[in-house]
Amino acid sequence: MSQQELQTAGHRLHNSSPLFLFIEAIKKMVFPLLLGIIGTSGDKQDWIIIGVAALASVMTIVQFWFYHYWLEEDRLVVKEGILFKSLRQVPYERIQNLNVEKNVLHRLFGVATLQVESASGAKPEAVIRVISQDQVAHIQNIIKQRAKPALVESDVVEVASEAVEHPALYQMSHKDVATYGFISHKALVPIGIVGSVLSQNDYYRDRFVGMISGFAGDLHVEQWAVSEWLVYSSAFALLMLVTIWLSSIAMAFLKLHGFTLSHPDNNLHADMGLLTRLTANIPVRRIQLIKLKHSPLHRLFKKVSIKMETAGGVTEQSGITMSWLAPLVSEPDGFELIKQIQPEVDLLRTDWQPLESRAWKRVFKKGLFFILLIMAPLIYFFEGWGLLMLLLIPPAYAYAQAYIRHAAYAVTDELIACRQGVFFRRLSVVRIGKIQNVSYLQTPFDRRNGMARLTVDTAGSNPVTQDINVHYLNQDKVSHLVQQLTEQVSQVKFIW
Amino acid sequence: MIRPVLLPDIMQTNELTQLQSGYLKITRITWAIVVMLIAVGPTILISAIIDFGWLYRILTYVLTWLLFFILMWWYTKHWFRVYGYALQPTGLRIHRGLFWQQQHLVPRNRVQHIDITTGPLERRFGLSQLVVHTAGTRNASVTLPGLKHDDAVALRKALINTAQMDDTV
Repeated sequence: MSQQELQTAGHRLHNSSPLFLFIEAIKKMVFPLLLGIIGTSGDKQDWIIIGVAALASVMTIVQFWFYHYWLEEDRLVVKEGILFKSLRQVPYERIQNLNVEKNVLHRLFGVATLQVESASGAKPEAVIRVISQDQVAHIQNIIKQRAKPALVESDVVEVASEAVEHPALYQMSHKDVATYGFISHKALVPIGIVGSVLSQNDYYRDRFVGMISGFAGDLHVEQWAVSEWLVYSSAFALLMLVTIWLSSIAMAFLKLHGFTLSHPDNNLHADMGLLTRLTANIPVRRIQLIKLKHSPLHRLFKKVSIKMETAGGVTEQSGITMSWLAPLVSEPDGFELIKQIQPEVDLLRTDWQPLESRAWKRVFKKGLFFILLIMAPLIYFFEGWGLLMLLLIPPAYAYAQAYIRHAAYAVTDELIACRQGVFFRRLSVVRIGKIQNVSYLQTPFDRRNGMARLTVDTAGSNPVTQDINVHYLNQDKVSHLVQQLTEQVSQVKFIW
Repeated sequence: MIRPVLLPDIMQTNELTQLQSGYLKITRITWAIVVMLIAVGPTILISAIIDFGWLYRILTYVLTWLLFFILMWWYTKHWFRVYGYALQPTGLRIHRGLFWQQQHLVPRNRVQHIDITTGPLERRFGLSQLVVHTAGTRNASVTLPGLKHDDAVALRKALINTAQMDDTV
């Protein structure tokens, strides 16, 4: 920061900014309200609520005149607020993510939304909505130049720093995007919501039935035989499935069209989107955790999805997020990609350790317990037919065997990794330097079998599903691992 | 890279240190109050099944309270026995849990900040609670209750690594 004088004013937002602020306010406040009304009444009092919301959203536009930001020697400063003023200072080297969003309207005005994220909290550190694209490039440049870590990064190979055009590490072809859309089934939930809302509303249901009968003639449902029911319902199911697939693929194209990941100067740079272009910049050293996932559908195409986690809890609701390393890639290519980004994370040559082989019994017993739990009420209601549940025992046995066969963990000088899951498999890797704390957990069942669970906590990991979580290990091994990891962590002083 | 962390000798040990016995008393007082609420349920249930006078209802309440409290007394005794911590050269280790056992290890150089809190009951017994925060998510803060206030301050001093200049996120 300049010693001689403190700046108190800086750049203003772009002149078209109120428009974008207004659109954002509508998206956040009016639209959800409207959606609620369609599903329910539509009476006059609802308009009062909408009026209040509209007034509030107009108020958000006024903040445009009170929003200033400027770039200092070592930090970005944002000053905002009408009655309650705030002055926010974000040191460049603490910036985790830098996301830029450009939709069609943005491009029309030659502007973009810039979001700056640090490791703190659930909200982005600053959302600059909107500034001209030249200004965005300028800010990106300054942050990139000045966000030098205090220490030399000896372990990171600087390959790309010389080249002017950074070659893409990974690119998605149209085929990949379409396949991803098919695999992800992203449209399932929205279509389900729309369907259930419409079926609850008498007016829309009648219109839908009317439309169908206008289209296919009167179907005389009351005269249907079983075969007719079968044909029509399977046709309907197929129609729904195709709709979901097609809209999922469309959604994938909107989001991931032209996904490109490059790696200039120890930064990850991702670019994607069809109508709304999203550009994300993340320093490689900020990656906390890398996750590979594959579902049965992924395996059909012999592909995996790779995501990363950075610190800070910005979600889709609270801001712009980008956590992809590669939405769809073959597993060996994915390993190679991770290795290029973080040379010390070499998953191809990781020495995977199995779980205790006797642990399949525990997974099997758990399965049996659930079968019994479901069977008890079934027998009560359907008597002998409930025993059909026993047919699930062989699959439960196979599941238990598969669970132990697929699960594994690895601890090296550089990383800890674990693999889990039978149908939906995932592989998580954390570098030793990113471990925040280590835990040893043992249930009474574990103790009877001399086993325990090892968990590792990192910044930015999902608090619900702890990603590094190795269960069914010998308790002595876990005790040893816990000590070893703590020692390793406390020796890694400089984690980048 | 590897620099041994210098610490006061008394603080460095692999042995588990037990919590102050005052903390057991605090826990039991808390339980005594909680059990007062728990005992309401069975009392209502029994009074609904067997129809008897107010005196017996109160007696049932007191007896269920006593029963639960004795169970808690026994449980907390063993629970307290296994609750402990150790300040290792690498960081803080906390053991707890009787049936579901947990060990948390917080490496010294991952500590973000440390709080010391003291509740009204704890103040009576001259105890404090140490809350160690890391940048993690699920175990972002690890609490260590039942410390003498001076011990808590000493632990905080020993854990906060002032020599570290870089951030760990």
